[in-house]
Amino acid sequence: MAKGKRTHKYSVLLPTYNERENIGIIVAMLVKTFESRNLDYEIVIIDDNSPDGTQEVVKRLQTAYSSEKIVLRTRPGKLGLGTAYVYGLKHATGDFVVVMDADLSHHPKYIPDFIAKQAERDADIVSGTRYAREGGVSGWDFHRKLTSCGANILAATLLQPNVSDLTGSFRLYRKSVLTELVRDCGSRGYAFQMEMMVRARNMGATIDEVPIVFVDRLYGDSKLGGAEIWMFLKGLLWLLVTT
Amino acid sequence: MLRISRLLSYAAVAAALWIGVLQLDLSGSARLAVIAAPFAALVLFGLYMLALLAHGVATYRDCPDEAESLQQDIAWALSELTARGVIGPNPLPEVSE
Repeated sequence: MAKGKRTHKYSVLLPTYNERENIGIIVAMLVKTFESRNLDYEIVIIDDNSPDGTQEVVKRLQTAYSSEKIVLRTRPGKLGLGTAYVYGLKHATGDFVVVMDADLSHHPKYIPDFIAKQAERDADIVSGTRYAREGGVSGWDFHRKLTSCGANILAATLLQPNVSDLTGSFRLYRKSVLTELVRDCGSRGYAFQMEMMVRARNMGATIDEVPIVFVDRLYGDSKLGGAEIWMFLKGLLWLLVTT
Repeated sequence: MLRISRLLSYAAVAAALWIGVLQLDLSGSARLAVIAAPFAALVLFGLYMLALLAHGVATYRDCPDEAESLQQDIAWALSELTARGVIGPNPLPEVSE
């Protein structure tokens, strides 16, 4: 504990569904990231009753590491990202919360950048962006980049959120701000992350950005189809008339 | 103000201006230009969006090195998990709740 300096605790929220292969890897990386910097942290895993045995792996992780640092909360089935955050927040004890994907597309090594950025002007939110100069993606073809850019430009033009990566889901939030945001957030899918930023702007939260590189290891499994694009457009329309 | 109200009020102001100018006593070609102006603006806006998109895709950075370094970090994590007995031949028992 640094003297005279306010120390924070970071709660990482990891919603999981069938992440047996990845959950151990991401936890090991998170532990290394936080402990090598002497940061206070906890990892809250919200598992939607994965049939692949994700929860068994998490329980072994609790034995191997610490059941105080690694918290498992389970839900009866797939209930969506927004409610996973609400549920995880109930059990989060940190004053800051990191939300990220558990599938290794978000590397924990960026978390110190988020923390440093937050401290610069005591921001409420730090959003990871693939669109900054040092940011980017790995494993995406032209079509995937085109749809991602197109969606982001369209949403940014219509919603004017002042965030360059609207659909990104690697972010650091002040816990009180996240709690208030998720309570009112009704969108699903890609629109959920957009709505969080739009509502954050409307409530006057300070938002900063750090570059991240998004690594898609499972390209092919996660192709953006017509159904996703349609869902995105519906979500965007919904935000236009509700926020 | 709702996003949609804001966008509609911009559109309403633009439409009012356009109708106002149409009331003026203009020469034939000027009048034609005024009539065409909203369509020209739409086309220009579309082109601007296309240019943004082209620029965005062209400057969207590809980082194959990151995939490689992630593979190394995954290998490290797997050895760490094996050493701690999370995975491997004799995995730890689960914590009983």
